[in-house]
Amino acid sequence: MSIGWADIGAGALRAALLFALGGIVAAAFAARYRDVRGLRSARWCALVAFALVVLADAAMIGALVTHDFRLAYVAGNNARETPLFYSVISLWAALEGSILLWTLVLAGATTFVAWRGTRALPRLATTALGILFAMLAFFLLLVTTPAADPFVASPFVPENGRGPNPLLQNNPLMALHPPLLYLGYVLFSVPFAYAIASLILGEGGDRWLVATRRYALVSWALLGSGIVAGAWWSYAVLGWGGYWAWDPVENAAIMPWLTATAYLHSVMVEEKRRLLRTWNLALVIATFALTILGTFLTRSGIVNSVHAFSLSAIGPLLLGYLVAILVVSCGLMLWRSRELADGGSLGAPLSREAIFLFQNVLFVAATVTVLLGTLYPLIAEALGGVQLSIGAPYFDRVQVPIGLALLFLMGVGPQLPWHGASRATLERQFAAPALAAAAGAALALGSGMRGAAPVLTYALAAFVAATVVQEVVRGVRARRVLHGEPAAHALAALFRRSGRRYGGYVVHLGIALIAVAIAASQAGAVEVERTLSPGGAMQVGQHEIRLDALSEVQEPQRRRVIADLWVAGPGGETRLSPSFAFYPNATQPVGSPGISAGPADDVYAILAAYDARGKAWATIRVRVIPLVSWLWVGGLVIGVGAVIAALPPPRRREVHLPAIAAEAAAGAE
Amino acid sequence: MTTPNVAASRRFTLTGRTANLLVIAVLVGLIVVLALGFRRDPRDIRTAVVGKEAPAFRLERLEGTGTVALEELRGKVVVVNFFASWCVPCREEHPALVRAWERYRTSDVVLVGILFQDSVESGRDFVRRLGGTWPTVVDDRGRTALGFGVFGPPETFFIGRDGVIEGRHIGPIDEDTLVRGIETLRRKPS
Amino acid sequence: MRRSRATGSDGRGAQGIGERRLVALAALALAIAIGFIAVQSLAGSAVYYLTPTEAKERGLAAGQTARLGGQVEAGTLRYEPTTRDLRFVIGDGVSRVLVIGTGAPPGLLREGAGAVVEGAFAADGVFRATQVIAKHDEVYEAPPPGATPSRR
Repeated sequence: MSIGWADIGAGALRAALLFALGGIVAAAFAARYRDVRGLRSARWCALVAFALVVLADAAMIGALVTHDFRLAYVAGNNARETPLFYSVISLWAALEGSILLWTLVLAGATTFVAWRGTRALPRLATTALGILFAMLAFFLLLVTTPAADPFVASPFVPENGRGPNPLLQNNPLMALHPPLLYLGYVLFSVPFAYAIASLILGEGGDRWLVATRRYALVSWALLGSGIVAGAWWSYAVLGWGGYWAWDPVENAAIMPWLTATAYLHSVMVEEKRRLLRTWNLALVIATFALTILGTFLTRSGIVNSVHAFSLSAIGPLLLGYLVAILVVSCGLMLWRSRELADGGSLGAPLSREAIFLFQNVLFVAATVTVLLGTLYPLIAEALGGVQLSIGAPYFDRVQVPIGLALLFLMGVGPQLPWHGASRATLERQFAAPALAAAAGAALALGSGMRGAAPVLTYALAAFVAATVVQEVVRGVRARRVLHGEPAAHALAALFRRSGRRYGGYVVHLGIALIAVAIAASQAGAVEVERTLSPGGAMQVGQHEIRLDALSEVQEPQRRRVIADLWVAGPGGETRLSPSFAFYPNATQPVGSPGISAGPADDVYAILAAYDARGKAWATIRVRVIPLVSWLWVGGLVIGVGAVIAALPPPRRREVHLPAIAAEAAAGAE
Repeated sequence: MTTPNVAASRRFTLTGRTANLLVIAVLVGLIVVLALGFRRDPRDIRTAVVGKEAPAFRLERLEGTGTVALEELRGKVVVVNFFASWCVPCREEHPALVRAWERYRTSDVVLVGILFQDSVESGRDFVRRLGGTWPTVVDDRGRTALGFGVFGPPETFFIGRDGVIEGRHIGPIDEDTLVRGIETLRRKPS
Repeated sequence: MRRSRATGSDGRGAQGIGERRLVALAALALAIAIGFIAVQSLAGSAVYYLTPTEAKERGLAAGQTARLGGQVEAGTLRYEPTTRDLRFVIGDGVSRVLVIGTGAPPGLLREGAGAVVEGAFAADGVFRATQVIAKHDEVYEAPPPGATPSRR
């Protein structure tokens, strides 16, 4: 084979860069002169660039799968023994590959906007397209400079590669969590591009916002699922019994998610009341800047982290990109500040828009405090030359009250009308939810929860759930009265016709579920650590754990020491086998927990230490963690809610004529 | 992020301009802090092995012909080089090691290569292809590398006649640096 | 900085000036309260990273949480499986500190290797570790179980 994977990949990326640059020119031409030829060229530039980046990614996967150690990336992240599945996902196991994946997603988004987004609003869309091309060109530039070129040839061909990081070939969740995060990160480029385009064109209106609402929602949902999947991975693989450690990489993912959540809500204020225009622009810019900041933090190696990639020349380039984004965005906002003036003002404190404002303040405050905690070690070192770290207590102490307040507002907001509420409205809306909150608190106390935060969480989650149920019940009842539909039809119609609203409620339910799962698993976890001899047993909560054997197994690619545990509890009996794995190419043993998941609690067993010589004893750490499985279920519920909210309502015209539409729908079903 | 401040401050008529300046100052400060972050190496948590006695090791030779122990080399200047066959810079620095070894092999200087996180077969193949007759050994599950606080290959340590680590070089080394390090140690009275 | 954000959405309409001000003030109060909690917690949660020598020079007060980084001195590491009593000496070439902890040592904790322990000095000058983090610096490697940098 005279032409290798490296030639294909590197060639494709360089060609794609040319098309991205061509796309900038074409899109600018189309936007400036409203020229269809420009738009057509831009579309083809996008499609060709996308195809070339797909080719480059495919070439990298081909090189990984065929173990082509002529590539430095393959030599460093793959070995002959690596199974096919893990060879493929090694694409995002290290810096260069993950930037390649990022470029792929960005090229895809650009192509989608070029072909689908430019049907309506050509001027705004073509300008935005030009900005997307510019961002794509930056990333293509990145992957064609030595700093992050994934196709750099190895100066010699080693017999065998180093293999992927043992932690990454330990669990299939690794296949899921980084791509979800990247999709979420990158898709937010689209609202950002539209926002900047709107500023460049000096449009005071909210057309950019309407055009990108769905992108923002999908990006938010993907980012959220990526975060939950990451928490799950951390729980199932890292073996410390938790799922969230306020690690810089986790913080980098949660910060844009927080601002995006704020944005999804404040958008409604702009749509309904023509308020908060500047604020919404700022939130979009902040969210996008935070995705870049997060990438920078985790890829530049300037903060210590579980996931931090190696120190690399890519850091300064990403920092430069971040500076460019901030300068352009802030400059444009200052320049266009006159066009951004709001038409009215916020009214009563007990109106929906006021709740949205408080909610936004809380979300932004959460973001700023997380950012502060993440960067404080850097600030302290820059100012005082001391090395310190900010532990989880800081984040817990600040974020828990914010979270509780947000939970409260989540229940209150949807129940308040725009412009303000009367006393009668308040009583009508909050009587049942208040009762539910009391019941939630009683449930928490009854199940042994102590401390203000968990009890409040239960109460507020019940409050939120009750408001959602009340809304749905009222909606169904209204439809039944108006259109005489049966309850099931009315419910389905509600979700199909007002997907955005009721999908949002489903998301709220998911958040309430997650809040309860967090409160229960944090406050109610019991941990016991014992040294057992084979045959010895220990009691943790209602579970009995017995060490049956401690064995050593030699596998082709690793050696494993496995503790064979028998676990009995209210849910029945099961066996767990927490282990240590020793890989020949890695210094560190990799521990894997044994997890028995259940609806009431998880039994999480870790082999903490063992007798290496005689296998006569093993120290076993067992955590019984209540309700933690509901965290992943809550993530799923949020995903379902987001899908409901993102689906377009069936034929727009029918919405204006509800009676006829309902009849038509009833007849069709 | 602090960007929303720009938006916010526009509306705050009393202090509009001041607030803008404040926001820009905060953003600039953020960037400066991030940029300053490049000065530090996040992986450097002061392991500070230089100036301390080198961790003892006795390791199997790559070719399976006995062992090499650090304590048996007392009284000589020892250069310990961590390498791996999958490591590209290791290959780059290899000719420099070969030349330095040719220069000092008959003197009181010993070069010891330690294979780092690699299989023995790949290591043998590496040495066979690239040459090099100095003793090379296989690390015992990375224990020695751990003791030396190796970040990643290649890394080179200069150990004096008294067994104390006098210098450390991270990344590929060139012949000049090798010679300078060795000469400094040879001249140093022990 | 947080103050200006809170007022970000106050408008200048004609109606409801009092109410509007109320909303803005409430938002402002919210932001200030969070800022206050954040600054308070930040000071309390900063864990200084020190070498044994620095810890001695600073005269770290008994009970004050800190992280000690150094090397586990050869021949000092003891783990008693039945009581899960863990003790070792951590040193930086100049000073040595006896560390006592409870619980199994992380898989990577070995004599001669670098380690970071979090805890506080007791009155007797012994460092009581609440958490032991064996450390090994390597390109893109995650820590082993029990060594997540900021685990709770």
